[in-house]
Amino acid sequence: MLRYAIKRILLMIPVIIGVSFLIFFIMDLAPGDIVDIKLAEEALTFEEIEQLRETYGLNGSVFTRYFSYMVNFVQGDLGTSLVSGRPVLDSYLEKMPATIVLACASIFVSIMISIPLGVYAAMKRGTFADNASMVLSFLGLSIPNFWLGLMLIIVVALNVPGIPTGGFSKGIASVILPAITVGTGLTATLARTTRSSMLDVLSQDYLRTERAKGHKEIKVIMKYALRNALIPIITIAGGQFAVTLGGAVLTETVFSWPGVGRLIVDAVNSRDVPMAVGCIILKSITIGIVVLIVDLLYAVIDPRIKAQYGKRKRKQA
Amino acid sequence: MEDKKALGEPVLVVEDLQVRFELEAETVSAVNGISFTLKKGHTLGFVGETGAGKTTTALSLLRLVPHPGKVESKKIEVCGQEVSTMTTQQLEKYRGNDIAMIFQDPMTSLNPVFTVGQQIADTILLHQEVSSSEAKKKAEEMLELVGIPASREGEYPHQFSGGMKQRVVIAIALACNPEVLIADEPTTALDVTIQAQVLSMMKKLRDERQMAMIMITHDLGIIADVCDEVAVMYAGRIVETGTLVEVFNRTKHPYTEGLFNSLPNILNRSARLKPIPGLMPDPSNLPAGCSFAPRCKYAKDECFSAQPIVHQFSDTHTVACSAYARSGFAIDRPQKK
Repeated sequence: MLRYAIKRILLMIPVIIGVSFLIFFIMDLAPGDIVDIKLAEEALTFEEIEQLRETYGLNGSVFTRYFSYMVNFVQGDLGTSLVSGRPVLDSYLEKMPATIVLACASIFVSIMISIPLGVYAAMKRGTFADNASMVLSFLGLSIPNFWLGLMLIIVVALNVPGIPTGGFSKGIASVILPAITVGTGLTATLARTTRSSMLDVLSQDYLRTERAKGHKEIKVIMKYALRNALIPIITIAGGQFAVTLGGAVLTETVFSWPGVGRLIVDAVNSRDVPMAVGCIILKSITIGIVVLIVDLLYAVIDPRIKAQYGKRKRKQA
Repeated sequence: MEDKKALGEPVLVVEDLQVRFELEAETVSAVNGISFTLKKGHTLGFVGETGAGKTTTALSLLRLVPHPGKVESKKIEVCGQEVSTMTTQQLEKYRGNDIAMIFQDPMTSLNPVFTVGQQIADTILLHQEVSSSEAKKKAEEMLELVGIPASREGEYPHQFSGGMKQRVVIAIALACNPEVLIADEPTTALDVTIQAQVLSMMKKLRDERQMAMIMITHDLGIIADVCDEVAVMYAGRIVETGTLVEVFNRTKHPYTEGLFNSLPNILNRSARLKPIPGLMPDPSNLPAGCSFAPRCKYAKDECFSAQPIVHQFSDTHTVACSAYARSGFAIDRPQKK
């Protein structure tokens, strides 16, 4: 298991190189740079422009700039923002708590709703309850995030006292609406995954064995069946969680949530190359780690997968 | 259950059991009015082709017939309790404790994400008032009983071979010392050498624990080896029932005769097998008369129009065949003592 985890972490190195180069290259292709943006605000002479480009390190080919960026990166220096002048890592870590809170809250909400819903739908397959819950989840899947966010602000935040329209200043109350917004799509996907995965498991012979032992039906479903159905469910949940940890851009914008999603968008808009590249590298590391944790969870849930990871140790009979 | 019942007292009485699957387009009549009794310490064998209703009969004793199956009966009495009117709680106490079932395919009958020890122990925890460490210890004893070292208690089903898995399934079924054990083709999925091991182990455990057992199989050899009484099933009905000797040596029903004729003859190795021609009727469209008549070489007109008449040849030997109404009728198979 440990060897497997180390291998997976080492495999993240080429991913980081690829991601960073790609984003560096795309930022270079985008028309305009930070100097052009400054130029729109104040009149600069030609010499001043050249001077600024020099200090920001914008001269030279994309490859030389990428190379010098990576040399610093390997030494642990993610650079400083061209806009604020603060180190990229500091800005990222500062925004991280808000993003973690939102990601955890939304995944919690969606798991608490989607798994019981999906299990129920699978048990009542083909009935009205099944169809109704699947239509509901289809609806959840189709509603655009930003629209739902705006509607929640208009309908809930403006009418219910104590629930703010945005920001992260009022504790739990300020998390509720963004968590529902992010969680709705998540719940819908997870409920459908849970249902189809449970349907597979419910027809298995070993559940008949459990029933023949005299277990209560609820225990057969929630313990013996669900555990077998869990792998696809945590794959989807883990992936969604990782993406949310990278920043829920639209939701964060709608609720002026001080998370990393907005940080990245702002950096790209102001052509703040070190900030954008740095944040995206950190984002891909976060996603990589979460996906690794999910993969390790597989082994905890299913002993057959555990047997495939690394060395097999067998107790001597 | 307390051990008051003397050997020979019936622990299982079934009267007029019917199971139908009502589908949208058709109704499948899987079991059509069968009755039997089983005495303590005795083994009853159900033999018949695939689709004769053997497994459905067994599942209805546990009330585990899958949806949309409908079970009707005059009586299903196990250890003096009527099964068809049990509440959910009674049913949960009854399953696994009074009656247990060994399922056909050991490869799929065990839960892949729990250790075999856990799977045995949870039955014990469910029905006996023991702590979880005692249950674990009992589970280890059960493993030893079926010939698996107790040290393998913490392993998962995928770490066991097919024969070992079937032993685990048997250990689960026997964990709470049930009065009635149903074995649904326990050896079909195993190869021949393992079959013999598993069968002799089951016989030993049955004799030690004085269990009543129902052995479902399509293998007449297993019946001869294990059973005291035999019920031959065809299209959801029992066509011939009697003691092992009566059914094997004084065979009366043409279908039973056909089963024996389909076996290779060890004394005459060059003889060709005589399979029964045709197929079993579609259970959603059973004929009005005897269901075996279309395949029966002795069939007369009356066989196609009316249900067969039941003939009693001894206290135990019963045959459902109208041909015995004709004087002097006998099947070709020679009768032995």
